[in-house]
Amino acid sequence: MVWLRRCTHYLFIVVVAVNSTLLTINSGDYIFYTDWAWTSFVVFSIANTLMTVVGAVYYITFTGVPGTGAYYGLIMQVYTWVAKVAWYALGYPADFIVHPMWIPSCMLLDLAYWATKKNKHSLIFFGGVLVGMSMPLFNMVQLMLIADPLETAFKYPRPTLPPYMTPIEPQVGKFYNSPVALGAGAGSVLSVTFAALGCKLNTWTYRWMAAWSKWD
Amino acid sequence: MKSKTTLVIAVGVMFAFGMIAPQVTSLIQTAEAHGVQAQLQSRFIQISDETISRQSLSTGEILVLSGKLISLVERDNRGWISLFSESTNSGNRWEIMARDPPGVVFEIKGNSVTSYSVTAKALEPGVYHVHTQLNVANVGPGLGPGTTVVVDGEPILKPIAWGMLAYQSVMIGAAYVVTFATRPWKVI
Repeated sequence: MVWLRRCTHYLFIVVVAVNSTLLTINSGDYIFYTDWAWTSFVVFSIANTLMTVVGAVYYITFTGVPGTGAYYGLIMQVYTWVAKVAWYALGYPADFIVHPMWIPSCMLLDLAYWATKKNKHSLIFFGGVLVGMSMPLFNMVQLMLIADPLETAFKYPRPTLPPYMTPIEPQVGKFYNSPVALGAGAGSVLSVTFAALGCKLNTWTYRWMAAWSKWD
Repeated sequence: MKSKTTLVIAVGVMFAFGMIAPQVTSLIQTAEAHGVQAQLQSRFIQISDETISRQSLSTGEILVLSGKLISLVERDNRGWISLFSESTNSGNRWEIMARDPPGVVFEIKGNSVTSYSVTAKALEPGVYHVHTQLNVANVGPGLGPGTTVVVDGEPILKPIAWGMLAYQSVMIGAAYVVTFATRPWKVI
């Protein structure tokens, strides 16, 4: 049975790695157009929140070990550095390339699981809300640590952006100047659903493994 | 047996042809000028008398694009002016040092003629086709005719956002601590 468990685990790692890398590139792509930063921040936050929560919950419930969330976040966040280096190599200023911060939100998920003595429903409700609320906050810190996005956008012409995609007006001011609030609000609701999806995926995986175990 | 040999030879010839065909076609292709399509010019505000200060420079040196923006419409518009370059290499190749009219977004009066200039520093060697780019609010961008500019010298690297890297590194370090304290892979 251990071979099945290990194969499932490695399959999971490959699938999630591919998915999260693609998602990071796609959602991160919006962040690069930093004069659209506030608009894209919400898109980016929600996309990454959902990806994080479904993967981390799946992984945590797969191992049953609080700490798995941090392990998962670590793997995925290091993957995003690949995308960062690729965009830098394409010529984007480093200040344009803001890649996601997953780890602290994953740690909160671990905390919710550990503090409630591995209760799956607490993981879904408390963990989901914690990830949804915290992800935009932890990511906004990054936008505060780079050079002024508007100034950067106007200072460096973008090498891979065709002229017809150049934003005419800066998008600052959208969402009543509060992209964190919008991202956190939408994220906290949606991520509970996705946490439940992570748990359900885990159940299906165990059922699938159990079906295989009849060959033992 | 004979048909098998013929098949092998045919596949071999196709394979070899496939290998050399791109080189052959690149040798015999006709040279074409890098024409600028008419639709690159905006029908609202045209870029005319575009002048580019030099066609050959080293990295770190300055290129100035100047000319006139001729408004062909009655209404006033807002826009911002920049530089658009194409090349065979990649890399963010220019840093805008100054704009005239100054600031970023400026107003272009209806039926007016506005002189402009964009001063940019070359950051990366390459052969570029450089255009003036005018982005007009609610209309879209337009390009000037452009010209070829050759940049040589060492590439100039752009500043790194060390604060963000430090933030990422601290979090990654913390995740390592939690991960090795709990060792989730032990149960797999």
